[in-house]
Amino acid sequence: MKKYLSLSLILLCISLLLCSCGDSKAADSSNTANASVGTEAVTQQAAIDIDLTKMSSTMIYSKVYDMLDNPDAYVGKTVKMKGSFAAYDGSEYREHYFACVIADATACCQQGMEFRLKDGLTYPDDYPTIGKNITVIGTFNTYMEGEQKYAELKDSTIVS
Amino acid sequence: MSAFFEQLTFYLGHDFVKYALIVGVLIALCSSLIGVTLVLKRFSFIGDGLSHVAFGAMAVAAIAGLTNEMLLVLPVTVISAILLLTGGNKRKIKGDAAIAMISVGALAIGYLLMNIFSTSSNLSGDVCSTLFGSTSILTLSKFEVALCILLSFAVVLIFILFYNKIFAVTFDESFAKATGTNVSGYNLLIAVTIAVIIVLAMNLVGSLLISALVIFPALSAMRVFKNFRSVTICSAVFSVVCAVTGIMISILAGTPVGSTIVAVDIVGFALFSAIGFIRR
Repeated sequence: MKKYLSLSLILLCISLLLCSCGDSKAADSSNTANASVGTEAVTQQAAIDIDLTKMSSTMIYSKVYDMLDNPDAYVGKTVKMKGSFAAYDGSEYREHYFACVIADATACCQQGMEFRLKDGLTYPDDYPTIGKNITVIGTFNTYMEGEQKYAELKDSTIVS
Repeated sequence: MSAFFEQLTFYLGHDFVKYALIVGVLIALCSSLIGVTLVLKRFSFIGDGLSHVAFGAMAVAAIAGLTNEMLLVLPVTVISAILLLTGGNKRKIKGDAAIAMISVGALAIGYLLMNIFSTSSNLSGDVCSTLFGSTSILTLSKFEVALCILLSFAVVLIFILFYNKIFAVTFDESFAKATGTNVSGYNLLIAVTIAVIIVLAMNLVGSLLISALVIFPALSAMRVFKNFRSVTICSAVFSVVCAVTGIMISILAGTPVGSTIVAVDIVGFALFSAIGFIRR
C-alpha cells in the first residue's frame, strides 16, 4: 500500500510542477489577437490587452478580483469589459464615481471596476442610465485618494 | 473543437487558474483519503459539522480584524474535531446529536456575529461565497496556496506513515486496542487531520458542500471495489478527476465552482453505481 501511495505522491508532485508551467502574459496577448472588431472603436479594440467580454462569468469575476488585488501587474493595459452601469455620489476629491459592475456565477458577489470617461462629458446627460448593460474600453490605472489606493479604467469609452 | 481548446489554453494561462487546479487536486486527494475512514466509521456527516464550526470561527476572525483568519479558524476546528471524534461512549451527547448541535450552533452564531458586527460592505456576498465557495478557489493568494500545499503534503504523509494503524482503528477499535494499538492517539490524529482538510476544503467548495468531497469518492469506490486498499486508491483517483473536471467546467461554462464539482461527483457516483450493478 505504501508503495502505491508513494507512487501517487510522486505523480502528484510531477503534475503540480507541470501545472505551474506557462505564461499568463502570453495568454493575455493571445486574447488580443482574438479581440472582436467593433464598429465604433476599431483602433482601440485592436490594442486590447485584456478582453473580459470573451470570458465566462466565473473567469471574469476572478480576473477582475485579481486585477484589483494585484493592480500593479495590470497598470497600462487596455481593458474591455461588459457589465451594468453604476454611479456613486462623490467625495471631497470628485463629484461622481462611475463603475462597470459584474456579478459572479452565483450572482451573490459583485465586482465593480471604476472607470473615468474622457473629458468633456457631463453626468447624467452623457452617461447611460443606472443598471444598463454597457461595454467599456479603457486603460487600467491606479490612483491615490488620501492614503487609499484605488484602481480605475482611465480615458475610457463606452462602446455599447 | 479547436476554439474550445484555444479557450481552455487561454484560461489555463492565468496564474489564479493554475493555483485553483493545484489546490483543487490536493484538497480532493486529501479529503478522499480520509473520506474512506470517515464513511466506514459512520462519521460521514462530520465534514458538514466541522465546516460550520470553521464558518463560525471565520466570522469571529473577520470581526476581530485578523489579517490571517487561518490562525483562529484552524485551532478552533481542530479542537471541535477532537471533541466530536474522541471520547467515545463517555460523552453525554453522542454521535450525530453532538455533530448536529455543533453544526447548527456554529453556523447560527457565525452568521449572527457577522450581521451584528459586520465590517464588510458586501455581507451577503461574503457569506454566500463562504457557504457555497462560488469563486473562492479562483481568488487564492500565493500564501494560501503555499499553506495548502504544505498542509496537504502533511496529510498525505500522515496517511502513508500510519496507514496500517488507521486501517486497524477504522475497522475494529476494540481489536486494535486489544493488540496494543493506541486507539485514542490515532483517533486524535484522525480528528486533527480531518479538521485540517475541512478548513482547506472550504476554499474549494464552501462550507455547505464539503461533505460531498468526503462522501462521494468513498461511496463511489465502494460500489466497485471491496477491499480497503482498492477503495482508497479508487476514491483518490475519482476525487481528483471529479475536482479537476468540475473546475474546468466551471471556468469554461461560467458556473459556480463548488456546486459544479459536487454535480460531477454525483454523476461519477451514478456511473460507478451502474458499473457496480453490472459487475454483480
